[in-house]
Amino acid sequence: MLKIKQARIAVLIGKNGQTKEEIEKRLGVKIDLDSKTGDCEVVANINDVNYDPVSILTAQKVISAINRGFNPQKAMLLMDEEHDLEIFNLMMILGKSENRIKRIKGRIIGRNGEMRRAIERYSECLVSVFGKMVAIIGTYENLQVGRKAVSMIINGMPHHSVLKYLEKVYNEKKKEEFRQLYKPEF
Amino acid sequence: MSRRESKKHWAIVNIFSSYNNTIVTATDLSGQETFAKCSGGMVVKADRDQSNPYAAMQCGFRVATELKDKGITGIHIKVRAPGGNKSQTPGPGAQACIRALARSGLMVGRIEEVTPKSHDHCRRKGGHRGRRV
Repeated sequence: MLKIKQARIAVLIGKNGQTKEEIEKRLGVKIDLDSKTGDCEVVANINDVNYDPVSILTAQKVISAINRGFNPQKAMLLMDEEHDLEIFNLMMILGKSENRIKRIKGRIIGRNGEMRRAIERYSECLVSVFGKMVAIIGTYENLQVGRKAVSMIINGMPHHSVLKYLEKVYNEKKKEEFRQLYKPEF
Repeated sequence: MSRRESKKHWAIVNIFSSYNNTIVTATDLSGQETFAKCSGGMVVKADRDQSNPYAAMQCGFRVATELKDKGITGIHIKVRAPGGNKSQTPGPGAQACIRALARSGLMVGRIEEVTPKSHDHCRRKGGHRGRRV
């Protein structure tokens, strides 16, 4: 059982119900959505060709990604096996204070979205800051980097040292790729 | 043999998936007798790989083959995250493990999430100034 925010219901349904239909078709599930209250439930459609025991969980993940501010195209990435979703609840970490949450949200986004863009570029994840939540989409290894960077900022580390960390990891990754390309074969 | 083929035998597979490890335990329907078990640490060498999807997949396959040897045809799955005042969502291993179990040829009945969710919980560990690294 999921609760969709009023602002995101239109995005989840899409133009003439296209987005919802696509999720239903690709995963072989049925989405029951109450557009007044925002209650959403995913039901299995066992007779469908694309139905898989995992697809209910996947559908819930896609829906909650859309609910957390990603556009449907990016949320659909979660349908393949590699990508995963990570959600930080800022209220759980920082407490109820509105000002504190606002300040940390600003820190994650940065001036003109600089910091968010840097995290996306170096860790090859997708980051969304929406309401009281921060959500990240990425593959398993990339998600670890993105998660660490975001939690560093939440804990109050200065921006330049977070950037230094991201740069270091990125360079190491590139070096490793290079090494694997030129590995001598016997 | 003939009896085994005609009858369906069900088991419950409990998956506990955190950021540090994935533990898979297969029991009978009452949950008392263990049929098979496997964890992330049993299949990989490095400690930091315990929780990754690949290790979870291997765990799933191992448990599935052991179950099939014992004549079980169908499974119900219970997925669990640490819960309580720790993370409420299952770690990265859970999906990979379910997928491996489904592909191994066992019939998958119900998938249930059984994370212990508190309505109001104790304070998280870490103290007033948060976790300092």
